Amino acid sequence: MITSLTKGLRFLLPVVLTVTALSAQARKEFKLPLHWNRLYDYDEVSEISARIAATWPTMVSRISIGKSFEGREMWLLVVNNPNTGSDMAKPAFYSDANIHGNEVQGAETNLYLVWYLLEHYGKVEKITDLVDRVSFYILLSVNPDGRAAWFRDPNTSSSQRSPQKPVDDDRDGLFDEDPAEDINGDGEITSMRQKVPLGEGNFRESPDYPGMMERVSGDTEGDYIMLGQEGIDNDGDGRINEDNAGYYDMNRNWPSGWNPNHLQRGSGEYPLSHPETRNVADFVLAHPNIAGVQAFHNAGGMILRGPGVVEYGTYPRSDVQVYDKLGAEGEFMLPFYRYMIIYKDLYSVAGGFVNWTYEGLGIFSFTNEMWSNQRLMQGTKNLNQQERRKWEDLLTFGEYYVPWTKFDHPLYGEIELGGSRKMTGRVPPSWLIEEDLHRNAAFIIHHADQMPKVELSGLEVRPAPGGLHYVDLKVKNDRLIPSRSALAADKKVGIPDRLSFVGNGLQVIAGGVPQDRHRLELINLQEKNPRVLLGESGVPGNGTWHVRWIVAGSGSFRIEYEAEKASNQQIEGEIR
Amino acid sequence: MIASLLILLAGLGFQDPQQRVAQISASAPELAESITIGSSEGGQPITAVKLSGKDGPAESDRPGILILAGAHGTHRLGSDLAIWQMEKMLADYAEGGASKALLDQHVVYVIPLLNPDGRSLDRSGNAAAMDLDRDGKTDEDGHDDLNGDSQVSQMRWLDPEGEWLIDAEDPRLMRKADPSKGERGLYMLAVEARDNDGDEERSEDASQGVQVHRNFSHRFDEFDRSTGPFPMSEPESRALADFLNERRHISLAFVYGPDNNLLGKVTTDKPKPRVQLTGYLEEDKELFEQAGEIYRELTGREGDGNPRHDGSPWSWLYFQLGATTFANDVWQVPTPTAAEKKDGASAESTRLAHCDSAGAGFVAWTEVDHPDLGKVEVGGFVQGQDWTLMPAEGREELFDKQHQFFSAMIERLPKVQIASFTKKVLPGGAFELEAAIENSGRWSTLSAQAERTRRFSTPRLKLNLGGAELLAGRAIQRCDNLAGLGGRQTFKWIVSGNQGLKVRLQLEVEPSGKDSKEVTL
Repeated sequence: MITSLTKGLRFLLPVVLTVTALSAQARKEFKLPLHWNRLYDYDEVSEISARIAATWPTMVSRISIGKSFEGREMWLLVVNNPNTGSDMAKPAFYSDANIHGNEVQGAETNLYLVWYLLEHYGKVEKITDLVDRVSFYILLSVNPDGRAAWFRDPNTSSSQRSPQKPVDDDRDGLFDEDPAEDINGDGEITSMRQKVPLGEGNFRESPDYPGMMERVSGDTEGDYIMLGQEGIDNDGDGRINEDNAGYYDMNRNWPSGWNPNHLQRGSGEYPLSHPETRNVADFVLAHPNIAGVQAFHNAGGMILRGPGVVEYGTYPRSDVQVYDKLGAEGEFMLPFYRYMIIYKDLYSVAGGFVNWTYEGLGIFSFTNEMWSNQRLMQGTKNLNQQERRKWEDLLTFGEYYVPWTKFDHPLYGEIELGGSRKMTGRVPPSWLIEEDLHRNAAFIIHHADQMPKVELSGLEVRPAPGGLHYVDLKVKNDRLIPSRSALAADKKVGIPDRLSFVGNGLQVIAGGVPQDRHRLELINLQEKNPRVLLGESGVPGNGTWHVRWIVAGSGSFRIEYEAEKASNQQIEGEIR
Repeated sequence: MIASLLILLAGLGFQDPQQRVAQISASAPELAESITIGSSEGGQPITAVKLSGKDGPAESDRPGILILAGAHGTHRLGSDLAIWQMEKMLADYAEGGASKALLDQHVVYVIPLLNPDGRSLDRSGNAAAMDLDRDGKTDEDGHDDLNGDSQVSQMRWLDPEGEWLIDAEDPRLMRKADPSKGERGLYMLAVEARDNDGDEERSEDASQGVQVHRNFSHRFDEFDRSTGPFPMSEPESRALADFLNERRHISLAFVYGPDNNLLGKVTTDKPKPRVQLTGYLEEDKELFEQAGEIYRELTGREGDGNPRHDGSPWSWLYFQLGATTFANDVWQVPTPTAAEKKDGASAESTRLAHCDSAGAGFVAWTEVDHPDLGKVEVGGFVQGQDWTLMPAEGREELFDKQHQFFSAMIERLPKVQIASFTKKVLPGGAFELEAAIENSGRWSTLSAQAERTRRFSTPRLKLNLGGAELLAGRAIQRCDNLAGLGGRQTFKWIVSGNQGLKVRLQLEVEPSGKDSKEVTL
């Protein structure tokens, strides 16, 4: 605590100097006041997105990219300033959330992001510049049906991960016939426990925290057995809760590295076999200007990138450098979040969304597992179960847990129901929601700001022997992210960047990349069609693509730069 | 160009599958039902025909069999075989032949043309516009017909960088110069084409559409643009997948296309987590080896078959859907035997001899003024004709052998039934029930790969107690994967109930069917 305060003081110093600006910040008047200390169900998220679009009609358009399995619209907000060009003419940042129906708060983060950008546009220079330069595609929820079901029905924090298309999980020819359920009608799906004679159980109540179950071992005797999640044997097959709604995992249904169900559980019948994933893929593929991707999940506090499986190997070195830089900045902005590699630091995922968008499409992509319980405990290290429970109880006054109550179960007889609630563990308590939304939105803003910003400069026309001319140009990118990732270049994804020399009466004799600034004749020539120079590797991050043409004739000319993930540019010149 | 080419091919005797399907299902409405399973990239309907006999168990309780043809747009021979088999089975059914039992005990689905676009465009892929050269424009520089013969063949021209020579044995053939023999190439050889977009390249966007027969999700080649942007990206492959997902009783498939897994050596692979197999599971080796033996014996064919796994419908059916699948190219342009090779025959010379006898597939070299290259000669082998060159003679006989293979495989399907269900009176009025299930088919209940895919529900016995009470045992009992030729499993229950109560035992085995037996207490 003390150390971090001292460390924090250094950052406080400049803040003192801008005290006026700060107090103004804390007394902001918002055009659209919204509450960011709570969560919203599918209908509420849709309604808020409509209000945002109505409040800023020029800058925000709200479109549906298609319908979910149960027919809900998949709302996407396009943020773009039409006065600086169409959304497709700019590098775009794509963010989505909630592909797992229970991992909800990314939708609020996405709403918050759009709201924050628009509330600060024209007021904060950095935001204004960014919104003028790039566009945003913000999909609120990839899984509207799972979201609706999770909020609507009794659930655990982990149920409704899947959408609602029935699947025969237990392979008995019946579909979703034995789900967990709220058998005592208290609105929660909790756990079942049964009291047994001392010594016959493998659990006991914690002596320090009555109600908290702890596993016994060694010299301690147990007087409880745990019977799993609340539910009954609906189909009489001798098993309980073995065929819940779904189950399939839309985040295993993306094309790159997709594996069938027996190699990757829940992957679906084939890549993009679900209406939701298909709608997203159609949108993403129709927008090759997307140059950054973020997907929100919960929980645990992670900033994840691929590969998703060890068999993939490694990403190209220069792309890893970009990832590492963004990841390190994310860790800095998001306390208790760790920058991690999916297969190595988490678990194996085949057919994940960010794996497709990077490994298949060459776009730098992150998944954030939002909310770390460490935030609640101020990052105190190595807490045991009891100490964690103390933080929870002191700060939530017991709200996180349902007290144990008796129930007469058709199979087990007298049991008790109780334990963790739906809202416990995976989402922040209300007073920390806004902070988690803001920090994650800020991470997106930072990532989006690093999308390529390409400018043409240093145009020089110099005489070459024989009455010809050298035309030199620098194509500069002063952002971290290259206009083409190394992966896109290696796998030949999309279209290379192109520099076209256009001039009536001028003839391009040769063109290519100059090798030596002092020896004009040393050029790495493009063999065919030098009038259009192709940049397979694009313009490097914080770097330059030099080109040189040898041109015959005289007159004015124009050089056009075209790229999928950077705004087109042109520059004019003349050979006298 | 395309229209006239089709007329030319129509002359070789290939049928229009869509038209024939309509005629067939109209001619036998009681047995054949035509189902539109989707539409192609170019908007044409994709049709399946369901052949199902009138006598026999409910359709959903019979094993389903698939004949799939025409994923590759110019594999006309496969479509023809599929249609021929349909007609054969329907005629034979009407006459009470072997097809009667076959269609009463099974449901046969025939998709004679999965890729109607490729068929009508006379190319391997579908109607998708492609940008193979990644210049942002689609299909802007393909092959061309320079000599006005409505075909795309080859062109040769003198060039110091050329690696080719005119074959002295037959000046119609080109062969590569052999520097080890002191030879130097004189000619360039390329597909007939000009530079249509002025970028100094020819045929660099010679799109054949997306190769539907390489678009499936087993070992898909992700960055070869011709295979599609991602596995199952095409409406044709998705239509098939959706059709099969609704018909999980389909467990045996015959795929007619460029691949053949019945001619060559059966290679195996070991299961690894997360990795798509490159060969059959060891336990399934015998099944495919025996099938191959039967196929080779019937058809007299030889060779290695060269079955490609990457993105193929057959490998997807077997490895991902767990259907026992035979890939069959039906016929190939002859290649030289070992003896002929010794006598100096090459693949080209043997092919040319075949073209000569078929009167198609080769164009005599003639001089043409090329817009980019000056004087060239156009001629040589016509492109994209691998299966269209089969002579009409002998086709009927080959089709009949292929159909015999089809029938022989169906006879080997598993047949799991309740062999016995008996009761024994125990002291105190309880009863011990004992049941045995048995697989009298040749193949096991599921192939090892089918079991591994977990795609089919678990074979199970359900005890309907009819008012009796269960003292010991499970009312729903999972069953093992039984070996073929008499694999057995027995089960016991103890029940109590009044005399005269009927206890019914039901066996459900996906995909091979149902059975039930009853005892009276």
